[in-house]
Amino acid sequence: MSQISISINGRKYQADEGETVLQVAQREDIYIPALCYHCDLLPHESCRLCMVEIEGEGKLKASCTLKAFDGLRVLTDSELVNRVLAVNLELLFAQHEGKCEACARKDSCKLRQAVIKFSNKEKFVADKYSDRKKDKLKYQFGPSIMFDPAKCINCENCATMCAKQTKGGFIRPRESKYNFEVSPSLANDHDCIYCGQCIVHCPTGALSEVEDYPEVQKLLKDSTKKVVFQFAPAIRSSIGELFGLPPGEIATGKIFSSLKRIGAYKVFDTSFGADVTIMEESEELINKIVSGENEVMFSSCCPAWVKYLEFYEKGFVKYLTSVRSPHIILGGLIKTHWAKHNNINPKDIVVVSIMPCTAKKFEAKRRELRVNGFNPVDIVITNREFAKLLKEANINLADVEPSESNDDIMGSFTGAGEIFGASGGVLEAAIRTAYFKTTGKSLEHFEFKAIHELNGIKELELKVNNQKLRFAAVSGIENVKIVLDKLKSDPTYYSCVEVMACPGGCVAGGGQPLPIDDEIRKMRSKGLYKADRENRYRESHANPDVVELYKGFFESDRMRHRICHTKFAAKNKGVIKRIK
Amino acid sequence: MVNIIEKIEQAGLRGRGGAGFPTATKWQAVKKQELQGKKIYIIANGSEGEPGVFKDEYILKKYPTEFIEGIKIALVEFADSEAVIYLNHTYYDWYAKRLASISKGFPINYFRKTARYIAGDETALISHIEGKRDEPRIKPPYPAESGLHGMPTLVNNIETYYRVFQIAKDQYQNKTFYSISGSGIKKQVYDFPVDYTIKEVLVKSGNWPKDDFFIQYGGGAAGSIYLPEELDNVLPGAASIIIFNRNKTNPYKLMRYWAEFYAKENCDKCTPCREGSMRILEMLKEDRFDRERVKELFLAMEQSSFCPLGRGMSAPYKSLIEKVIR
Ligand code: SF4
Ligand code: SF4
Ligand code: SF4
Ligand code: SF4
Ligand code: FES
Repeated sequence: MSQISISINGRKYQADEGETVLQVAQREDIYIPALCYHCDLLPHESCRLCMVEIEGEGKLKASCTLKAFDGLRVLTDSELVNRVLAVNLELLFAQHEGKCEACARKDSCKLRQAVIKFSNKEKFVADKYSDRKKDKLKYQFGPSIMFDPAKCINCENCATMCAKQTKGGFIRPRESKYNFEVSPSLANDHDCIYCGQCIVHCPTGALSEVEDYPEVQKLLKDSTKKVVFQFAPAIRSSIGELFGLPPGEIATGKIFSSLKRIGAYKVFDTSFGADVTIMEESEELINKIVSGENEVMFSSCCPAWVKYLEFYEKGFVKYLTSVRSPHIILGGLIKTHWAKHNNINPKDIVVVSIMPCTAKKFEAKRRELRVNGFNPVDIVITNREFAKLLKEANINLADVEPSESNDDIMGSFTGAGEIFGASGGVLEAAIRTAYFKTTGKSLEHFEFKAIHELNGIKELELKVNNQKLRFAAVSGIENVKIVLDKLKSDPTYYSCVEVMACPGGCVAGGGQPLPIDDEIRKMRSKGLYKADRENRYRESHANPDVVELYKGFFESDRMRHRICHTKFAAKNKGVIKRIK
Repeated sequence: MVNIIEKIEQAGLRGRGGAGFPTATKWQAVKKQELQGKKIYIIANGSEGEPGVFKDEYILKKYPTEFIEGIKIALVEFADSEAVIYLNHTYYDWYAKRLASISKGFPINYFRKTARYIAGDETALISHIEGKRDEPRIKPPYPAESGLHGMPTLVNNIETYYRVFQIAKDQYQNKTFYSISGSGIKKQVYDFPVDYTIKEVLVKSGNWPKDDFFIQYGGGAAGSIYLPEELDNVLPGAASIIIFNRNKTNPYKLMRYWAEFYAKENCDKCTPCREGSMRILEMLKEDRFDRERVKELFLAMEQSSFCPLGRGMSAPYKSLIEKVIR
């Protein structure tokens, strides 16, 4: 690739041929309020806030599509740029004066960021126009997603993303007399899968999770309740970002300590649940292969993926493993095994899961997952909500001294469980254990580099006992569609497919810190793989507490089954609420 | 025999959709793709959404055979090709049947336009035919390289195909259809030489008004305002003249008509055009037209709108304010 040189605000910068001016500026930390641009999507060029002036021409161009060429000279801060951007920003911001303080996306909203940057510019008046969207009602999709049309700037990023994540798109532009409005489809053949990818790609606070952390704050003050936390593998390599640490830095120890500081009765690592998931899933996989039943098995850890099948691809539901997802298994264990062991009435326990995910809020409410009449998990909060919980308790995670898990029966966790957060991780963990179970020895190399990459479809072929088996790890529903098409003609094409609805897996889930881009996805995954390498146990079956569990409590197949397995079935459209 | 593209070039034909792009250049670009063995789509743009422009309808009514012949010339010129005639819903309902009977046996399909004005833009129109939202797309790629369903696509106005037919038959006399309408005159189409001044057009068609007047040239929304003394010229834009009686026209009402039109008919993709057009309409509705604020909006629209519609929206207002309201 040839190097070229361009000038921004009079200074020279190197650029690669084909790069846009915006890409160069972002790399060099030159602020351009490019609201609608997201590196995952083709530029839609709608916000018109990324305009730069071509020097000497007195004309503006959108930097998100302006390709750098040798000798190009642009200005990002000229009088003309500032005048025009001020107008566009006033027009967009008109819609939400004064609402920022209470907004769930306050810290990740690009619109607010731009307004703050512009508020000291002479020309800019934040509330020049009346609020034409003030009477709009909010929508809530299931228990997961909050959509406030009043804060929407019509960039359509969510719709583009949602069309990839569903069939035809659930959230999409709807035409009205003067304008289009992005809104959820009310048709019966469209539904939300709660993946939260619309949130990830929304530049404003129009989309966010349904916030449940205030409820957690309340419960922490309630002396009759024992609030037990668990946290997903995927949050350990990203939570730090909200406290100024770099993406990928593992914060497991700090998470334990800070949760104890806010008053957790007990803290578990969901990786323990992941190890149990693997024990069960590998068993199912082996049985399938041994019995010569060659049809594919799908992972079911991702509730958005499960919902996608149950709603959009009902014919494929039968291939889902019956094994529950890690936090549900762990929640079930907490309210039975652990409660009994510690002599606690399960009624007094509130299990709170900290997840990278908005779909987990939906999963936790599924009635078919109840154990002895209890929901295994009572409340799910996202990683972003977790940060708020800490910040509002004046805890800076970055400064907290790490500590360890200290439970005597479910305290240990393996690297196999920790990599669950990365696309390919569940598959790799399952292979490690399945290999051991079938051959009686551990794999020589635990890591399958081919499925550590960021591609949306990763394939792996293995020879086990002279059988050639094909596996795949897929992330992003758009890629899932390709794989399902393959399986439609041959359901035995793969032995096992791991699916995560979010592009890049849970490290880039709908509940994760923002922004998210490919670089961040890579760094967060790398962090998890590093945690795996540093863990003294790297196979789920080697987790000593898991071994004990299977020798003791899980001796009873009935108990094991009740806690670890479920049935999935076709589902109708979920609830869409309208809120004032 | 001289090739049709060369003939078009020699005739100096320019697109009759309003932008005035040299037709031969478009055809050549598509030819280049065809030579690489690609399938070609040929689109006739009959969206005619601009108020005050009605010459496409005139052709559909009076010269349907000649128009279809023009399309057939394109179908012959490009080996593996298929045509789509894109008609606004009224035209579709009135003329599609008859056209279809004329074009029977040829790969010519008809598409009924339900979307707004902006879908007259060639890339928005392509999106619309593909079943997507009718928003203009980023160029490049130009339709000639990657248009309908990603294939090279030739998009020309209905009149352009009609003129191509004339060129092929050596009957082209460098004329264009003027749509003339307005206060006190009969709405009518005239076939006049392209180099007539506007004054000539008005005088020769017998439409030069007796009372003081001004005109809007280039379409009843996008066109600019001109005073009688400015009409000794050939003007750019769609050949449409709307005559206004200077004493009887309320300029604010006129602006409100434009504002209403733009607020409804733009695609709403980009901020300055979507929000700006809304705010201008709001001010006019509430009778508080703030010139300073409008000036700012115009600047943002001209400098930062995504497509020519938004970039050109200020022209009628500005010329009306400058010349008539003052
Ligand atoms: S959560 Fe997923 S499925 Fe639901 S609206 Fe957002 S992108 Fe679409
Ligand atoms: S909800 Fe967000 S992503 Fe969707 S159009 Fe509005 S601002 Fe854009
Ligand atoms: S990929 Fe992970 S974060 Fe995304 S919906 Fe699935 S489980 Fe949730
Ligand atoms: S300027 Fe923008 S909103 Fe207006 S029609 Fe063009 S793309 Fe659509
Ligand atoms: S970022 Fe370029 S137009 Fe929005």
